[in-house]
Amino acid sequence: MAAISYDSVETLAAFSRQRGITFPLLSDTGSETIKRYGILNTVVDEALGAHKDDPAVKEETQKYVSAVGVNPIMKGIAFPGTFIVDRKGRVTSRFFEDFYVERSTVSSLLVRAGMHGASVAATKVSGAHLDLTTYPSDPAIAPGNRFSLVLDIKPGPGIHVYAPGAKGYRAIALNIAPQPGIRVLPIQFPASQTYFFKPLNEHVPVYQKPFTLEQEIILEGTLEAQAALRGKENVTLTGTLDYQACDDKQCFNPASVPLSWTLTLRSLIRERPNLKK
Amino acid sequence: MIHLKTMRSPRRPALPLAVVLLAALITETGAMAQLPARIDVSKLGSQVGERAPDFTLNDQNGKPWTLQSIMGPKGAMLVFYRSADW
Repeated sequence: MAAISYDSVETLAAFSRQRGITFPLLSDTGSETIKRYGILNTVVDEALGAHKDDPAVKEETQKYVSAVGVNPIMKGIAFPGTFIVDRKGRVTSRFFEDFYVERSTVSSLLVRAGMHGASVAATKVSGAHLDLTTYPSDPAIAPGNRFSLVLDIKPGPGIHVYAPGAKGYRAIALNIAPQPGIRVLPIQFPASQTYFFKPLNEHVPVYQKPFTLEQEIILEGTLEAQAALRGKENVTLTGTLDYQACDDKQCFNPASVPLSWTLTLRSLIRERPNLKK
Repeated sequence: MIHLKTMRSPRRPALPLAVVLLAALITETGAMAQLPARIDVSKLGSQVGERAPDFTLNDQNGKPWTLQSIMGPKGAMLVFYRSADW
């Protein structure tokens, strides 16, 4: 992995030293590579130019440049985003958010790209009809982070659970308790299997094979949200996994598994790197 | 049994279609002459399936890296961010 910005080697040296960053921070002073990638942040120029009072430009400045307004030093920055490329150099996925404050963490992008494994401590729950292992994409999060709660679910032998679209049954759902400063995004459920339930002569969408749910969450990064988090060391999310399981003869009562995830709260870096250190 | 009542919104008089289209046209032309294009970041730069451009850039230690040199066994991740300085 490498991170690219228009900063000088000197700035990046001080920054990585002071923050303990070991992966390559690449210096694209002059923004040649940023331009070659087609992601030069043109909103900066608009916000500094003739259209600076235009409401559309002001809105885009808030989204893609800075909450506190534009500054000539910002000329040449990239639109923040991430490319994942394969060994041949071809782009396999890309993530460009619509609000610079909110960025998917690297770990959560790996989850979304299908490359994940529980490298953090995972919680294992063994239920009557399914086993589940759950872990967050990141053990520590900062305001503005978009991260994932991953649930690896394995229905028991001979068991299937109802998938979204199964009418008349409790389709599987992850319900996260709302709390201020947390935004829960809709889950994109994986493809289900179709089950022919003989006793009632019906076809229903189910999960029979092991499957994974990725619940994306944003920890709000606005100044107000950051103020509300000040002094806190952790963020705890709670919720339930609600589902209904059946075997080939009968359906069991809907079940609800209580879950919780506690993540360490990191604060945002507010100081400029000290070039003298 | 729960009876659901559907609320009926008061009907507003509909403008003749021609007038609506004309108004839209005037706004659009006026807008195109003055407003910059709205950004859609998903359409900017290398798209899925395209080759990512090559580069040679120095890292924080002055060591040069190319796209090929940052590759791991499964590929590479390039994170573009605004700045480390502000």
